[in-house]
Amino acid sequence: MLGYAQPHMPQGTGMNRQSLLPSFLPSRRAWHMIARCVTALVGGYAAAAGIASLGARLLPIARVEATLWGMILSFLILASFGLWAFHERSLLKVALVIWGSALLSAGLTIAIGSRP
Amino acid sequence: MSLETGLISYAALVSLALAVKKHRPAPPLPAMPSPRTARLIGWLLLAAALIVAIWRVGPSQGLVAWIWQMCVAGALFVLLQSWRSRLALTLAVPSLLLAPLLMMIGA
Amino acid sequence: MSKAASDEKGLRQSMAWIHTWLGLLAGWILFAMFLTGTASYFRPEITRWMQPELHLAPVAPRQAAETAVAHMQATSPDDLQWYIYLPDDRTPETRIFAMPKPDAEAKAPRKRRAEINLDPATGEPLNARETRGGEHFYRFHFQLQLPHPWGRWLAGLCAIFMLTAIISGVITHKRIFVDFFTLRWNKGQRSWLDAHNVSAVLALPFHAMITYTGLITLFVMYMPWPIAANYPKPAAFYTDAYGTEPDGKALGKAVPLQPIGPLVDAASREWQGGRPRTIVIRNPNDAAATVTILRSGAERLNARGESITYSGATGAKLTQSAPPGPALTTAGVMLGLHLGNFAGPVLRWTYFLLGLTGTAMVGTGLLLWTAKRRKPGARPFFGFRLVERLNIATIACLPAGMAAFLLSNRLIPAGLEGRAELEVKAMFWTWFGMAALALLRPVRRAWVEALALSAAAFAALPLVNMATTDRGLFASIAGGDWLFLSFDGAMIAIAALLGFGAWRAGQVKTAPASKRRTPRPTAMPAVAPAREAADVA
Repeated sequence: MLGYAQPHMPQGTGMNRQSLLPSFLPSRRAWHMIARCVTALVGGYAAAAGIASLGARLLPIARVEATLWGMILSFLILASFGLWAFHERSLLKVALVIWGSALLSAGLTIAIGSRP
Repeated sequence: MSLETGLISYAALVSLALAVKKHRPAPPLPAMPSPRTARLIGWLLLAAALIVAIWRVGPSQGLVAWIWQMCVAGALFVLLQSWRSRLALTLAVPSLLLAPLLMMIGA
Repeated sequence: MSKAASDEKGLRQSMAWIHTWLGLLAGWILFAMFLTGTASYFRPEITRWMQPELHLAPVAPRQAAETAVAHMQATSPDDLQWYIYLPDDRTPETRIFAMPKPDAEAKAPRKRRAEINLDPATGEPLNARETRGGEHFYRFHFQLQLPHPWGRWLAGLCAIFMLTAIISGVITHKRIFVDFFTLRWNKGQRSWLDAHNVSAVLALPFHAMITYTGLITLFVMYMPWPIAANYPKPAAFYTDAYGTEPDGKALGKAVPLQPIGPLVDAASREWQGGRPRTIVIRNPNDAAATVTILRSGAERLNARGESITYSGATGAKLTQSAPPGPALTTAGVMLGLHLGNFAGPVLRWTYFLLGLTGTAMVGTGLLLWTAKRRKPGARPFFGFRLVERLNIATIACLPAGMAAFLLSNRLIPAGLEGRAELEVKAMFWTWFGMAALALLRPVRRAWVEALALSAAAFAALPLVNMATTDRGLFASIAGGDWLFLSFDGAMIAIAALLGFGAWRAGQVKTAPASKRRTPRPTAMPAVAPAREAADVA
């Protein structure tokens, strides 16, 4: 039974290693899972918002249309990031790609500035 | 009213089910097309359902009505088939006959 | 195993894992959103049922507009803005409210006056029992009875979980076409999987549409960032997208407002017979008065109606909404598909049944989670018991709450102060109270009893309606009162469905794995167990 007895990410998250932490603290594996969830949800949202905004800013069409396309498609971007965050085994790669695209797209959008 | 689309879709889905070996009733129904014919009839009926829907309410709403009624027809068929399999299959005939009748009343 | 095959297997496994947990986390709220949202397809009809003393004859938009303006001229001629919602085929009354001029001395924040319902034929305020009506289910399905904006954010979070669950579910379910028509009863876990698959796959276009367009209905709130990237002032975006006019200032020179009738007719002519739905009058009886008429979305897929603005002083056409571009049209059509306002009676019932299919998909998914993890004999772990209890609370008790909302409408005296709030309270007290009481019962009994109580509550509705109004079942049949007749019929059907559920829940007790009724050989030959096991993952 997936996700119950045998979750998908055994290698990347080190579930087989004996934890040295006291038992009342979340295990190393749990911390990894929390990081992954936060990355998927918060990071995914930030990345979707950043990419949608950058796309809306750069699309060479009327700005109301570009804005709306960005808003309409953003949820698809968010869902894709969310799924990929749990499919990819390496947490490091997940965090780098998602937070990286969030920072990059948001930074670029801010650097370019709003349409005149 | 555009119930015809759903009725034709129901018959179409029954026909498509008859094209699948595991859904064919063991003592065959009195009149039952071969799997290949059933599949062809099924797709043709689905196309007919779309044409009827477009003819009744125009292309955009027709497309929507077609998809939604196809979904509901499918759900009803599967529910009925899980309870009375032969009845569910046989109902394709009256539903197909009812469709042009409704069209005549409505038109 | 080749690399491609193992990649595919890995993808399927990770998607199954995500599907399971996202679905579980959001499942209970999604169930409530689906069920109340499904009821909302009959929002005006529920409101009409909840005000049985009203018998309004349909009135043309022009006459309704004239009576409404006459009422406002008589009661608040100096207001800043008047809003008039005209009646249509489904809503018989005119709804109005006014925005008073900002009071310079009081410095109070501008507040709109209370909404009033008018008889469209006379312009007289209606005298009917106070109720939220169908609006309550509608609001609950995306605000979840939480303070603003938390309810909407939670609903949005559940919607994005749902979207992700749909995509991962499709990737997981590798035998979509093989199992397309397969539903087997009395096979325990296998049956729940069948039911979940069938309700999900057969109405997949609807589920995907309703989830995505649900996010779109509130996308300005959920995803405002592209607006910020393109507009230094967000107000300019609203003007571009929705044609909201910049606020015009009154000139202070009194000019009587043009008669509204000819303007309504003119707008209707511009739309080739399209029906006006809303009228916004700014600075009435001033030289700068404007009359904006918005088109009804009830006849087209695109829910974003066009609008025309006339001068209230001269009657001349001032502006007209520009034809929308592809993105604006897409957003409007998505909104229209979600709301289903364009749907006539047949398509509306189709929408209702699809909504129930969606509810069934979420419900069977929740039940599948427990069915897979149930170990006969062993004491279930805490998480299992929690999920089981929450399932009972949501699936079996929410319907009783909804029935209680409707029942209380008939049982609370029509003239009681604050009765609308009491109706809402009745829903939540019944729902959560029953869920709490169910904790005292063994799981199996709790299912049976809660479902039976829900069924009884719905079955009681036609009876209570007959006892407390003059629009009971027999009167409806005799008088051809289609609305009340359909309502009673729907309540009986829902009661039967819930009763069937209670009966099944009581039956399963003996042994979920035993084959009480051997499946007919005609229905479905057995599938190789290995293939089943692979799919159950």
